Amino acid sequence: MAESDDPLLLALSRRLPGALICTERELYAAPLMLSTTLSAPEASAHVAGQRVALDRLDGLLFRPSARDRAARPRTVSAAYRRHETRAAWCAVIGQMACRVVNRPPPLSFIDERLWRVHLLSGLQQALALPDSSLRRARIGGTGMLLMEGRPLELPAGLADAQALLESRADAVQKWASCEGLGLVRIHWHASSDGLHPSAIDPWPSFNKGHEDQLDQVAVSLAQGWK
Amino acid sequence: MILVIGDPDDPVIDSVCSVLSARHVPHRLLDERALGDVRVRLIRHEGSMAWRVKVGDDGSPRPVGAIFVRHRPGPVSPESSRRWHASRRAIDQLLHRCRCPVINRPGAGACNWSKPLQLSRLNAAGFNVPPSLVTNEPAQAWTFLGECGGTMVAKGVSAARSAARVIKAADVPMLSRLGRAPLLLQPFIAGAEFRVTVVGSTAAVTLVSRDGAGVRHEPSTLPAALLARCVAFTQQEGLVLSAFDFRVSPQGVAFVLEMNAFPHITDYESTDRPYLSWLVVDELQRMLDDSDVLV
Repeated sequence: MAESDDPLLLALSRRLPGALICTERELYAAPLMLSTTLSAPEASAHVAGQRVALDRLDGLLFRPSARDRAARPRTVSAAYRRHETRAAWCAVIGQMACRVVNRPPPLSFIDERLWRVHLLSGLQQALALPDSSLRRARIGGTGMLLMEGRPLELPAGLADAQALLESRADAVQKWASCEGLGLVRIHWHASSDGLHPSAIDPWPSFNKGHEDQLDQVAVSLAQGWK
Repeated sequence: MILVIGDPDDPVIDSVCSVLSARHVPHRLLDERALGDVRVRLIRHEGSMAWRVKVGDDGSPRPVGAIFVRHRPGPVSPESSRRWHASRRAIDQLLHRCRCPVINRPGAGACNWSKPLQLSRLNAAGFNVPPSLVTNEPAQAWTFLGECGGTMVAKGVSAARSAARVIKAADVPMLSRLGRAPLLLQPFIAGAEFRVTVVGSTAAVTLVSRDGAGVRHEPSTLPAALLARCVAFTQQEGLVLSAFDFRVSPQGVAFVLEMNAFPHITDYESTDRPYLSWLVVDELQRMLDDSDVLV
């Protein structure tokens, strides 16, 4: 689920020709059923023109568009419908047994800024950084992609960050797993008291110049979902 | 000092502040109606980092040992909206990141925002959860209505305020509007209504009775194992204060309907004996700790 021009969606769909593709707006407009009347939860939805038993999916790429996240519905009833639909899909995705990249928690819908603060605090704890590292979250500096809590590549100038992540690998992977983060970009900030994560982007974009990263991510995801 | 954040017109904020005053506990109310005047900064204080909350020109700062927060939904007037929301975001960051004890931190218990997600977590924690269906398809709802024996309850899926409605076979027009938004459907469970309010490691049980004269509340009891589960789930969700709604069927099965992360405790206590507010203040005093918040 991503915008049709999302570079990661395009790269992934070339490697997974049978993938079902839809946008966030199409997903939220789809007929949906989540039942806990049986011993195991059962969920299904109409996606990309067909009825899909959601427990039969091999994986889910969930990348809501920044434009849709920021958009305000025009009417009260449209706002209510979006609110209720998001709450329903939050439960559906939260209960899916397959690999989801990334699994959106309720806080990501309630207050995305606070969610990002929460993610940053959690990573700082996983890295055992002292409280003095508390600083305002800011996007900037050098970014590093993490898949399932493991660094995907090593941009120049981030050798210290790599060493820090490796020294706390188990804690960082546990943090990523608990937060449902299959793929994130971590921004690092250098200061007099060392290198610190300064912001986390849970929906990393891939602009021009990121082709190698994009390819690496698509290959890794496709291998796991084939 | 205890810091209380909220709207003084909110009965819960009013009740907690009244108990603090009656017990002569030093406290300060940060009035959210005037949040635009509030500034939050991270400063160096006595050799370590601390959060400084400044309200107007308020003189020298005092350390805060515990915080009780219950947000008002929005600004008083649209004109002050931008500054109000900026201050509110800064306060939420502080509440989320400070070491100072908070009842309750924003973001804790967020699964309440999606009722079906919360029900799945309650189920995993060992609670009895009623069979549930979330759907925006009238045909699915109709099938479920039959499985429920012809009577079911329809609720909103999210935490947005919505009245639960009893649905019977005659309510065709309402179900045909399902395409607009999904609903949470559950069988109607007849039986006694209980609310369990958890404050720290204490669980207080209230029996809720409804009749023509209105709603009445009286202290009651439920099995100790169930109350221990309520306390454990509250802690698991990162909360100090919570409230669970139960229906106990005639067969004695206690079904949990919901856990509220920011409960309206004054609805379940009397003004002359506000025992839930007492419990909250007891907990705030017990939690008092060295602070990294100054106000």
